Amino acid sequence: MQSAERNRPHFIPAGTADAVAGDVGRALRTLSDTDLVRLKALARLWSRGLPGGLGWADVLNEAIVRSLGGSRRWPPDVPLLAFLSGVMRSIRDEHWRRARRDHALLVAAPAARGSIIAPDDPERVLAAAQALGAINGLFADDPAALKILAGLAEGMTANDIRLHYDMSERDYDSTRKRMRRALLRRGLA
Amino acid sequence: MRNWQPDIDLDRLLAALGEEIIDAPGEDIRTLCGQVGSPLSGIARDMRARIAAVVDCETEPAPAFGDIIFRRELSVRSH
Repeated sequence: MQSAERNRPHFIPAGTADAVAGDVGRALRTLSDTDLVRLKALARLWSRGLPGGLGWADVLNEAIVRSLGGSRRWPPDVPLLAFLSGVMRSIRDEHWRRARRDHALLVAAPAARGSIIAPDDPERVLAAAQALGAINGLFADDPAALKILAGLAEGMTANDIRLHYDMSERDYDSTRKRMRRALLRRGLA
Repeated sequence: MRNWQPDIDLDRLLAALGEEIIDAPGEDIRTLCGQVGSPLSGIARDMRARIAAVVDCETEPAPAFGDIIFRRELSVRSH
């Protein structure tokens, strides 16, 4: 663990919704400067390519509201930033599903609107392809990073990636370090 | 060749990159803030203000996500 804030504070009894919301509120208020930077970078990451003009601040705001309101519960064994990252991931997915449903409703004949089944979502697929292209573009001059990105996108583990691309552990680790710095640099902008 | 599903690939990639951000050493973050000319304290102050605004408004809830989208769309259509 890199920082003390990842541990849930112990001054509130666990178990009730109020206690959980209180936990989240207090933990948010006591995040260190570096964790706040991480949180901003996470919000920028999860808001990448969202439709409807939604930005990182909207996604962050919604994640905090849901956590405080108890609609998303903070599991006791999960660090706060990991929990909020998961909430933002859900918000992203939910927003795309809503956009897909709204689009299906808009284009359907009024009589058929009650039985709408949203079709595949070409807009989301296109936006995702563009976002992948943009992320790859960050590492256009770094072939090793591009290999790792491809592996991560396919859900490969670190070991799988190293074996698949014949990378030494040292090369893998130093590349991940470069990638992390590039991502944070983007997250700070 | 597998059937490419960029939305699924992107979701997996963002999750992995999110973990990278969470695991980034504090020293790296401080160094990068200096390099990009964004003082760590300034970013932290801005984030604290945002968080406080939401936490303090618990009794007066912030607009729901759907409302934000609706207002943005309304604003775009009215121009």
